Amino acid sequence: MSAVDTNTAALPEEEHDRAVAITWRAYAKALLRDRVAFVSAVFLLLLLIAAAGAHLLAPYDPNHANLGARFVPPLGTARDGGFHLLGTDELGRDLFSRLMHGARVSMSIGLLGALCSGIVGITLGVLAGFYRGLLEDLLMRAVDGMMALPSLLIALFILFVIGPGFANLILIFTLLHWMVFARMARSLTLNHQQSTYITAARAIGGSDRRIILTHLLPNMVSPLIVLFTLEIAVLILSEASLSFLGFGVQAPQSSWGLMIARGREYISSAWWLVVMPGAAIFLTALALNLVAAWARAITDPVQRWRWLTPPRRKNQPVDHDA
Amino acid sequence: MPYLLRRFLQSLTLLFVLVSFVFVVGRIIGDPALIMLGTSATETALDQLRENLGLNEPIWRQYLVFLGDLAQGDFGVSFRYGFSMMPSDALRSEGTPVLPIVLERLPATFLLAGTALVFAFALAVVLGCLAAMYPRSWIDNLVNVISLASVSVVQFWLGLILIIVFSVQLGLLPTGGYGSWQHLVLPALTLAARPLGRISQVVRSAMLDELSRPYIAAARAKGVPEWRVVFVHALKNASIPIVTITGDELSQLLTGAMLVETVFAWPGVGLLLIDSLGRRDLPMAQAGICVVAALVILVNLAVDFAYTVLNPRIQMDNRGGRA
Amino acid sequence: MREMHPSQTTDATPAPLLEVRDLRVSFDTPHGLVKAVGGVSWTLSPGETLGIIGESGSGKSVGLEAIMGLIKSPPGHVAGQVLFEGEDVLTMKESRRRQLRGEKIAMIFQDAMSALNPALTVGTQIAEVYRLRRRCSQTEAERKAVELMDRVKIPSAKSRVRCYPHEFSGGMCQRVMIATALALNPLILIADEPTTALDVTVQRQIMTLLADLQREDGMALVLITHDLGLVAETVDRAMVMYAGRVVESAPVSALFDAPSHPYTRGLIRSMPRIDGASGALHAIGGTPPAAGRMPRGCAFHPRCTHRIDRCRAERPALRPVAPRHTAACHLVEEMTHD
Repeated sequence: MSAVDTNTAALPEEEHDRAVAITWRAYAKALLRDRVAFVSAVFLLLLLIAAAGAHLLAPYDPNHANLGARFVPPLGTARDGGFHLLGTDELGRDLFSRLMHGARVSMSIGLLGALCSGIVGITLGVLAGFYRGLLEDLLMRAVDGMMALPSLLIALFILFVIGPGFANLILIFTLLHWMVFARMARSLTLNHQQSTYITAARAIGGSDRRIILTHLLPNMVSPLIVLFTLEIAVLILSEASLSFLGFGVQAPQSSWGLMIARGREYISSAWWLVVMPGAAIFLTALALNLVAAWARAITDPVQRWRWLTPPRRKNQPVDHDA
Repeated sequence: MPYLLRRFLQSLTLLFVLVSFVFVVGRIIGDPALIMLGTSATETALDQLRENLGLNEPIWRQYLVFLGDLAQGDFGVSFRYGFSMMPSDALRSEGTPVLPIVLERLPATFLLAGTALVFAFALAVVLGCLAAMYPRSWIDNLVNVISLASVSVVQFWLGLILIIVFSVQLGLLPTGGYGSWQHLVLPALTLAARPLGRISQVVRSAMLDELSRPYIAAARAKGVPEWRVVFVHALKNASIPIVTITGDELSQLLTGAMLVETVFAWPGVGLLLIDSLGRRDLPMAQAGICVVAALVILVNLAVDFAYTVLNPRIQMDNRGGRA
Repeated sequence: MREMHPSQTTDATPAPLLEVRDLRVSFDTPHGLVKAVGGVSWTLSPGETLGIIGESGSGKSVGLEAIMGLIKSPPGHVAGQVLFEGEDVLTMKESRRRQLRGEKIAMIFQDAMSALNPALTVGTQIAEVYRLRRRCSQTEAERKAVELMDRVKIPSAKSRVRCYPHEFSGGMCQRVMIATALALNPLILIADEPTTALDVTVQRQIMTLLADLQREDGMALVLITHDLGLVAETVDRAMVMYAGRVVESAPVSALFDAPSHPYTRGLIRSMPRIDGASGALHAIGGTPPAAGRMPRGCAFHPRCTHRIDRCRAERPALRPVAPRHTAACHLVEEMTHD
């Protein structure tokens, strides 16, 4: 379903100690060195600020209709002198302000959906990996089965019956995306359980709860964060699709997907109404994917040296006698 | 138990679970009469419909009747499809059986998904192989960009962009509809974007894997031309992960077609399904979902069959579940 | 019949078929540039058998791969000259080099099981290059494959030509590899540890087969191995490599009778002897240096029991010890009179 490779699941145990030695500063430096990842991270940060502070930062009231300023193209000025960076829509509402408020909905659905499915999935996955037995058997069967079913179709049908809306979307996403987390959490648990430090924690009489919370989970954080980031992107895209079909967010709330659906009616006259919200989705998902790829590379023990050590000068002459 | 038989039984189980799920969601979580007539319907109309549909029976009986009907290919009748009158009037008629209507729409969906897959697959194999042959070249970068973009873009938006460029601005191709090859171009391209990115990425990494194996050096050492080393020696061995991802993408295509069909008014199962949901036509929607899901399950099964053909050495019983 | 070089009939030392001059191979790695082969020169005459001896990591395989043009660049860098019949293999076009491979120079590998393509039948693989170069039909190619399988003594070749490699044993796979190499009657066969992965009885069969084929076809054989016993039995001339350089080169009898480099001596003394004459087995202390961490001076000095101060500072050059016998040691004179 998502772009997650299984190879992120396999972190050798001995990397644990060395991982600690690499400081946050080294990560920050590596991020500065990787221009693409750095730009993506900055973009996401700005987006979060814009979404959170939309009511303060947006140049216009997103719902204020201004019939004198209908269909102003991007970078255009309305008759009343108002400048519109991304133009206005059929009611003369400022597209840029609407995108900022839409970001709030799209981002919070992505974040909340990933958070809820992550909590459910990780809990189940860790328990299955830790206690094995029947629980694991049943869970993995459910995971395999659900991953084989077309999730968009099922989401549509449930939303059709229970009705659309923000809360229902989160519910559906939790229901249909926990498996991804469960699968990875289980395999990570299995990997770590064979390692010495878990045995040692057992030997000194640590309780199951303590072992899971203080030994297992902290060591699973980095691959799970990578997965979490990717899932946010997947969910933002799913939300857009569902809203586009009319089963997601409902007016007066507005998400990027819904904005595209509305703009579609004016596709031949006001292209920006379709292009801009879609571009916002595309850039956000792209930035999330890029940051996830960077985070995966930097936490992958095989590739890490490439990022955490300064690059060798290019075109260095090869000296065979050196 | 032989591997394929076991997989077949698993697929049947999955189908059964799916059908039961449709029953539970449609009939227990929701009230079919309310779904079909809407909240504005009168109490008498609702009661009459409940009576007609047998909704006053005990739930376990309803479930058995539902399963029995499905087994005979009876997905119920639609009171909406092809009726222009008020729903309450339509209810007095016999209704239209839904399954034939769904099946009628299948060829259009197959044509669209098939074209998209063939196009994406062929291009992805060539691009992926070239990227593996020349790591860090411009073509390798291109494959990276395509695969990243393809998982970041919303399909329906891509379709709309293509409409803006090729239909609205350039006037080259129709904005939607069905009939000539011109109608097929834009929807097929839209649908092909995602599998193109995913498959080319898998081809690239599988080929990089194979190209580093000893038999490749041996083939080069005996003087086999490079194109043959890549496209015959390595590609044949890389075929298993490629078939896996292609199968996954084909099932994605079948559901992805839903959005693309909506954008381009392409009369396939997806468009029918979305229209039925909009018309609150529960039986039609149920039939559409069951048919599409059955196709997805069938594709997964077919991929497993393909494994046994591609590599008779596979220890089928040792292989775990597939995503 | 193959054409002979004109000088071969007149001179005692025939003109070389293959001449390697100062071959150097290095690789870019995360830890910087690593030298695998550092300036190796040797020649091969038509019909000759040359043994290249060394521990794993001594650069013997990498050097041969460089000669075949199989080192990818980057990360690899190849310098020097490799003259085949007077033409430099390293600077020629890839298409010309590919012509040489198979047609003139063929190679067989250590682990035949993994050097055969698991997805193609053995018949296809044996006759593949034959079919491509001679542009013959599928049936003709299969006939050729059966013929070659007969030559390398694979029993019931006709019925097994359509089998896959996994249906063959390790020894049979190596025979398939050899058949593949013979398809175009090459002038040189490079065998990279051809018997290492096989058990002892099969090893002997493969070596006998190679010797027979060489006698019949008159091709030159380069045998890369770490097995001195194998060298003593099959080779005319032997070259000992250590840490990417040649440390001693001599006709095989001279090498065993009068080894002039401490490393060669160590190797010979660590060989189990059938007559049991020398008593206890001797092992060379220490381990060969990692490619990235070459010691200064003579690469062998940390393990050498004869080392003097000069060994630490200065790398010894190859010096003549006797006719056609050279060694790279500061103490060559003392060693030979020992």
